[in-house]
Amino acid sequence: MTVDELIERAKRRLNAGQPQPHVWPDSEIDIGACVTDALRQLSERVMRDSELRAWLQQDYAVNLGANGESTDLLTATGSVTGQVGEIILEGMDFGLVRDAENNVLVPLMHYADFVRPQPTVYGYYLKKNRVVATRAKGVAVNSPADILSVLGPITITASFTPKNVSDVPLDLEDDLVGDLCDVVTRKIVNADAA
Amino acid sequence: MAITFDRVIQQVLNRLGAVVGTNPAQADSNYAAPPSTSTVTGPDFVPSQVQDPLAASIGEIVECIASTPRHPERQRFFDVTGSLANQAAIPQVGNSGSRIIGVPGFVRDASDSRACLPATLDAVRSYNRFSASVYSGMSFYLYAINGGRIEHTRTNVVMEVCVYTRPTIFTGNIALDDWHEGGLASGTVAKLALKESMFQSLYDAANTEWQAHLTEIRNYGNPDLYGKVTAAPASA
Repeated sequence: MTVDELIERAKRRLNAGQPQPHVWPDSEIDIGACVTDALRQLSERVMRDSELRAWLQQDYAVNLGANGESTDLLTATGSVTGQVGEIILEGMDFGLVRDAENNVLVPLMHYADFVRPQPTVYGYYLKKNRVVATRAKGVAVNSPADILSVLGPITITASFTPKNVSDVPLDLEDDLVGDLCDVVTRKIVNADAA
Repeated sequence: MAITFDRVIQQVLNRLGAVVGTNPAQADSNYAAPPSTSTVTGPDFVPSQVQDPLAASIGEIVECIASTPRHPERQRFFDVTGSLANQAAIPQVGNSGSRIIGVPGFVRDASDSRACLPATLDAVRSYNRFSASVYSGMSFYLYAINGGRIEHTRTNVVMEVCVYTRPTIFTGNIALDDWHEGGLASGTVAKLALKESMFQSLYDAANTEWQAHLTEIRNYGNPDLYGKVTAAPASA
């Protein structure tokens, strides 16, 4: 589906059965401006749906710097879409992070947990400052100085928000049209309620 | 069928009482003949004096048609502009070199000929400002007329317009549909009747007919009388 087709489908769905005058055909450009919002709404919902999540999930190969931290996650390129900046940060928690030796890294939510002793049977990762910090398994950590990063590059399997409508799978097209209609008719919503 | 200059000029002269006829046969003969100085009483109303107000009446009818967006007779005066870039000034002449009059008709993309839809200036400008970001990958076919300029969302568009040039030769056919014959005669009589104060009531009647004719032309713009418009008058 192209973005023009998406707009047309949304326009026709909104128009169907409405009495004259039909106002939606005149709102084409307004609907177009909402496509990005609809993509975001769809991907957020899909991420939280275990049945659909895989449709909007992809791998990101991310190099580690000298300090053992990844490069900026917004520069990571998706393996399916080939686009940067699509990764959803919390989508990593619904996915998986592996090091170059294919060890699965366990997420830690707080920096304080990352720098204090943890079971050494696991490797760990922590999201901070738009990067991922890693901590190798088998290494006892009693202070930040003890942290040893994993072997990179790491592979992050994460949910993403497609930049392009053409990257939305066929199975989700109907949902995207629905989300677009929802966005343009709902217009304004409290950010906390979104 | 066609309306000829001769017939309309004769109708005008007849209503002004200017056709020579001392008996029915002579009056009939003079009325049926091409108008000339020998067929009229003169000197108040002679054929050449009818030509200018007749040309003015034709011009007013054409302008009325050209200003009525859905009028079917617009095709008679059809022309197109050259390719117009965004924010280009609307040209004063069409490709034929004749003057553009009335309102624009169909506006289409100069490359693929798809119809452009009339939109608000806000919509057109929003697209042009954010075409590479917010509207990336989208292709809108919109235009808006802003004073003497056209703003649109394509690389180039072509406007279909009406053009008109005043007639300079008053023989042969008049380039209007037949049903305008009565209106033309009324309009021309109304313009000439002002020349004589004794024709006040003739002026009033002719002018009423004339205004009714122009109103009838404009009524083609009423969607209840001539076609339904749902949302976009120029949609493909």
